Amino acid sequence: MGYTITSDNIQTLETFLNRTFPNLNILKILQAVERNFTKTSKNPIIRNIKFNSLDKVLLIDYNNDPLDIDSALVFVRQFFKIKRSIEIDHTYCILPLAHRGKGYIKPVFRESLEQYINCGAKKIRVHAGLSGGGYVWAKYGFRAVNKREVEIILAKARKKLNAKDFVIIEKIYNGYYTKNPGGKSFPMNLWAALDFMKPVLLGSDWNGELDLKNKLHLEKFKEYVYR
Amino acid sequence: MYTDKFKFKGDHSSVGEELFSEVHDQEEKFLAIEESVKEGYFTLHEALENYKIDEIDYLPFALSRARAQYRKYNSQVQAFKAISTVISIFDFSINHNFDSKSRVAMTTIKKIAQDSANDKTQELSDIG
Repeated sequence: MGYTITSDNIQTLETFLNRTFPNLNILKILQAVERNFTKTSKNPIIRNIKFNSLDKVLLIDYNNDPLDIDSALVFVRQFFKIKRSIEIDHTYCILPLAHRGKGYIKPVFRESLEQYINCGAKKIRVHAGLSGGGYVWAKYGFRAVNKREVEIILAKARKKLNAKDFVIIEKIYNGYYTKNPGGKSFPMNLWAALDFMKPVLLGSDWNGELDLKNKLHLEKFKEYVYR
Repeated sequence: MYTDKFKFKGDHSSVGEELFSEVHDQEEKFLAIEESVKEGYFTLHEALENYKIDEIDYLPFALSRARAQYRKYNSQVQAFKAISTVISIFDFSINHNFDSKSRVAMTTIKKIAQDSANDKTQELSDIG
């Protein structure tokens, strides 16, 4: 497929994968990317895989060295082994403007999700903020990790919303953090499903996670991706 | 580095939009109502009002979510449990909007349904 593989040591990628991410078949993810994404760019594609056996990190970086976001074809995923659990960072996924909404995304996400489940991954992380991502990822089940970021959105909402609407979102905020003072799973979906929160969340920027070990959250996400 | 050209990190919003293109807004609202009530942030009436969903529209969702639990009972218990669920969705309206005769009728039906469902559930668990 033309990937350049680089590493910090002499261990082969196969050995690294078997030891660090057993049952993760990255070839299947890469094949899905090739089948669905490669046709969307006229520019040559740069394909890199980097792994570090000490930090237990695997990076897939597939991009067309874009000039701007409208011409960008980028798929970047990082797999981390933290203690005994696996977390995947959805670092970037962008298709060129002309190819968005054409059905190329679902097959790649389906294959990815299957591999995440196979290798027993615990979380998918996403930085929700890119071009309205703050609203979209909130709506579909990604939960906010960082209380400070939630507070920033709350402060913005205080300025934008009328008092009656603000009380509603504040009640969710207070309810959650009273029950979970150090909570790292704020239910952004409860904010996003309120009509008046769309403009507030569209410009928001926060770090989210999907807990793959939470049966309800996983089933919901899976059902959406396979629909 | 090409990533310097992007303002933020993360999967693009268009990816999410495509991924969830077949999910209706109303589904998300139903789930939010269910979760916000379960977590104690709102009463059912408050949640329905906040998410702008009518009782009658929420009813099929509530019944479908309860279906898995009902399955373990025989049809007689299922019928009474379903009636209890229906009435619980309309609880606020029964207490605040119904005329007094209808309110009394609904309260009576609710009590009969709950008592019957509980009795039969008890009997089933005694047998089990």
